[in-house]
Amino acid sequence: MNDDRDRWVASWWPRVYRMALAMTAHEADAEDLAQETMISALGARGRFRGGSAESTWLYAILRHKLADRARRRRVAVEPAPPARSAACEAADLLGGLPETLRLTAALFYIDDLSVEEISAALDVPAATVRWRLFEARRQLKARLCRETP
Amino acid sequence: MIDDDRDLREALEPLRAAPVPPAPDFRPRRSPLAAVVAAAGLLALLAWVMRPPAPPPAEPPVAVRLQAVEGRIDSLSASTLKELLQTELALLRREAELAGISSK
Repeated sequence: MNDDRDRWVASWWPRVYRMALAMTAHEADAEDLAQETMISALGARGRFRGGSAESTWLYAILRHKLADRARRRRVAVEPAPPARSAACEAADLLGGLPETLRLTAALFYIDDLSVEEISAALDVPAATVRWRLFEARRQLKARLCRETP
Repeated sequence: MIDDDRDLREALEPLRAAPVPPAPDFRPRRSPLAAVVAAAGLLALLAWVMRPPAPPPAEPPVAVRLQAVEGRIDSLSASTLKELLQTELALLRREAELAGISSK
């Protein structure tokens, strides 16, 4: 049973971490968020009945953890971030997007999910996903043009 | 749109290829306090199981027992009981003799 759990963690940890990094643009925060997500998922794994794709279930947990962190941040005083890596700076490109667009764009551009997979993961219609990607693309392009000399 | 997606993926490449820290050990651990309490309980059980047997109650010295029996004989009227106690008295006197204790 430990081998199975270890394999499951090894397969999902990198994806969950990169998604967390895309959403937080901060490596330490991303690691915390990813850990919280994995801990919850491991605790609830026995109750997962396979009614949806495992990615759908896992990213739903990630979304809830994000919302929890957002609530905590409203009262917490954040220290100044340390020097940032290229990955964090790339994540900043997504940072200008509203959270729903940001998560959709991260699933598409970072995790390479299809529109149908994103629709299942976020529990929204495919048409909504297409619209969000359209809008995210427009805003990201504008930002990229501003930042590119 | 395809070009835009390619450009965006290229811009996001440092994030797509970000180094991932090693996964923490998510195995459940027992709390140290629970382990300490369990160990203390086991030690206490072991100490109780291996305790030395209680020593038998100390018998009063022969001289004291002799005095007690002599006192009882004097107060008895029933001859049968007196005879029995006389026998006990004789045995006690013999025990005292063997122990090197003088008796009356």
